[in-house]
Amino acid sequence: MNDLEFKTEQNRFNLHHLATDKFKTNLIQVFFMLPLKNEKEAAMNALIPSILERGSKNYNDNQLIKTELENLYGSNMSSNILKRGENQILRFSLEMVNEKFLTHKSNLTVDAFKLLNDIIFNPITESGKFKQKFFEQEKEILKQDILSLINDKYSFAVENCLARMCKNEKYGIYKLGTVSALAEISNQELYDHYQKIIKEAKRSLFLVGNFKSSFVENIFEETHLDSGADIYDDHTEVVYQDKEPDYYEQELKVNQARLSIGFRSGITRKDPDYYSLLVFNSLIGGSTHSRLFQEIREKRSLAYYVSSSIESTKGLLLINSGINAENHQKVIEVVEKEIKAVADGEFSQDEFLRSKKSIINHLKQDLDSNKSLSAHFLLSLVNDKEESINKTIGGVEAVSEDDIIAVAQKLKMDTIYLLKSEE
Amino acid sequence: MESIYNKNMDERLVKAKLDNGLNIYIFPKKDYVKQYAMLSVDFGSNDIDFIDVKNGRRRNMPLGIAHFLEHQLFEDKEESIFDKFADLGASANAYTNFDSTNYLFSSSSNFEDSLINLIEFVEDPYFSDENVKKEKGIIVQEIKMYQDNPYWKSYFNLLSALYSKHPVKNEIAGTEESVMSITPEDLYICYYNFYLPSNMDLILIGDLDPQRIINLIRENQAKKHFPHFKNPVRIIEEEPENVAKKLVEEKMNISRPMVQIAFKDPVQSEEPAQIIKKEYIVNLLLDIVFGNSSKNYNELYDQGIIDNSFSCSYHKKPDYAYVHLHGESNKPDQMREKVKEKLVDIDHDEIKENFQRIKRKYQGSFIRLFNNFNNLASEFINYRRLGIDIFELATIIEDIKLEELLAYSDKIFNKDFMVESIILNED
Repeated sequence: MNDLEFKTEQNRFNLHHLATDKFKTNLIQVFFMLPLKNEKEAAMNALIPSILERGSKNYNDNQLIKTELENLYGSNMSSNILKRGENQILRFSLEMVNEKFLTHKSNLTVDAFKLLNDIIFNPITESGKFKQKFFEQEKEILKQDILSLINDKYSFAVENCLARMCKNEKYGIYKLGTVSALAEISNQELYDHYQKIIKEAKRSLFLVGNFKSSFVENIFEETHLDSGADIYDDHTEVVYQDKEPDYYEQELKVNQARLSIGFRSGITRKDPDYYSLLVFNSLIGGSTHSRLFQEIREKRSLAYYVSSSIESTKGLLLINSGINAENHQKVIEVVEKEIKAVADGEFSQDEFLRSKKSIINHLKQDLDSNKSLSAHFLLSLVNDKEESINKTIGGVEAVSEDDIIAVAQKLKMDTIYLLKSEE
Repeated sequence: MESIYNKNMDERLVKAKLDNGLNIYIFPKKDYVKQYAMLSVDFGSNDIDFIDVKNGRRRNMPLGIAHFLEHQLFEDKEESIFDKFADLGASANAYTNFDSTNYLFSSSSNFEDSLINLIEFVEDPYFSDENVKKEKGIIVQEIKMYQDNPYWKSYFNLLSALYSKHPVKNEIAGTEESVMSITPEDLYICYYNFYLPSNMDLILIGDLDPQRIINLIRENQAKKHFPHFKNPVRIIEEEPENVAKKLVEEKMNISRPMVQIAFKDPVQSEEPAQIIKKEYIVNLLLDIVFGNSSKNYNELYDQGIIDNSFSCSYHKKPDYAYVHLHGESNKPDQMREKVKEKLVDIDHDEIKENFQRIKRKYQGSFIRLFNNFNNLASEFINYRRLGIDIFELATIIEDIKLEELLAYSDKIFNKDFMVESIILNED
């Protein structure tokens, strides 16, 4: 078995290649890193990929693109806007089955990559702008996407909590921008912005799978990709402060109240205590063996879900739960009590070992998924700390009980947000 | 023990059946770190009405009992089941759907101990007044969470419009009221009726030694006594051909209206292979007519009537079947009109032109299935319950003929069997 590590190829583009024949499919991803500046730019960055996906010069409408992808044995092409630290990351993803499992011979990878390339770099233009029809339609659809956050009450609570918590930081900007900022965008400025991204944004290319060497060698002949800096974050502001937690309530007609509690850990992937944070998160709320799951759900029957998660570029920890509104104070008290207990070293060795094993188990399983391998490497690249999964596992293994206590002591509750039913 | 090797896919399936009736299926995956096990019980939310194997009495159980039982089995006298798995570095989970309850774990070490854990906790029920009462609070929160989900809400409104008798119209977790009425005794009755090894399948995937694993399970099972081997008789009342309601409307706090449309497809008794084949045929047909490469999809997208929230699929089981189309739209009335209009008048030439390409897409998605253990296990059990091994799907897809699509295209979208479920914005 190979070690499943990304190798950075010496090339004029930032090619990160993980060669393996483990998967039935090959995965190609192109990333552009776009620092969060304001809501209008965020909306522009989110709008560009959906316009590009509508049609390019050689594949000039959606129907033709989808037809071509189906011809390529149902290859998947998609674009996403991710938020990592104070950046939007624009990800284009292409996944196709490995030719060796097909009974008919085919040049799938090359053909699919040609399509992706055309979509990203060769948009249809009309007098130096995007095609007006695509621009208008996708602007309307993005508006609907922004508004549709309310349909998913879990995410609605999370985003509202983070927006309030980071209202004075770039991180507080929603990854799709706002409806009012979107309305201000003109086709011309959007196209100019696109040109700027293509020329100046930090970018990377990931390959995961069993690619022919001729493909990897010639990939740059086939593409318009220019050289530029590899993606890494050098500006995210890690805020870590002592303050009384802010409390916000929002009313909406809901059956279940949602509680989100935001904390500052001040710990990012670059920090040595990042591995301790991983283990702490597993102990407090990352899984079903965690303290909060046991105390809030299993012992007190107050919730169906209660979990914690970390943001490791900005240094945040978030606890989320769905509850009856009248219990919110009780839940907050349990959260405070459990974090304090860990900070006081009141946890058993079994709990400690379990939490470590759980993290290691999940990391190991990431080795079996092309997308997880890519997501893990992306985060390490963003945080300027290239690291294989096996190396992260090594870091977790070295964590001691005292390290966890230190993380728990470091954690600062910042913002409490409650979404509840109208009185 | 039987071993089937599929050369095209370079995949192997090992099968064994124990004396007590438990079926074991193993996919050995070389070079994979992840190990995955799923114990699937042939007992889902649809199984609420049955003849008790102990006394021949008809039992009518509260809605949501299968899902409740799934939660309750995680209760143990001493230690938390989740902790037991976590101690081994494995993580356990479970889910209930219309026709099965599935207990699973994934691990990267200690597979054998974890596997024994899985079998032991599913085969060792412990229901008390106290722990049942506690679980009610948790499940009521789960139900409330789903009530705030507009897709889920309108999907079950749609099913309740399609079916007047068939239990698939009921929410999997039941209602707050039905859940509150569940007693430990109800749970024990369901347990001894359905949780028999002969009513279960064990699916294992990973870099495993099949012979060794099968021996291990056989040894474990030999130590236990199971009272009887008869499988329970389920009662499904006869479903009328007609739909229950044509339209269900509801208001929720959402960004824009959500439209769901379904066509009820009356069922006849069919061979398992035929059921699966028909499911593929109609899904291919839907992709041609309303998939995102279709003329219709792109025309309505262009007119701002639908967007990429739109999707369509066909679901077929031995006892029910329906076509399902749904999406969000700010022009819900136009969307309803247009979709109906297009489906009632399908162009045969369009089917002919696109058939081969869409078939290819399905061949690709079959290959992809083997990438993801979780999907592989759930799809495998789906087909296995119908009596088909997953490798046979490749042949089923390959054998689909254009004529079969054409034949269904004229009769499956019958307006008389159409229902709609609409969620509108709260004012």
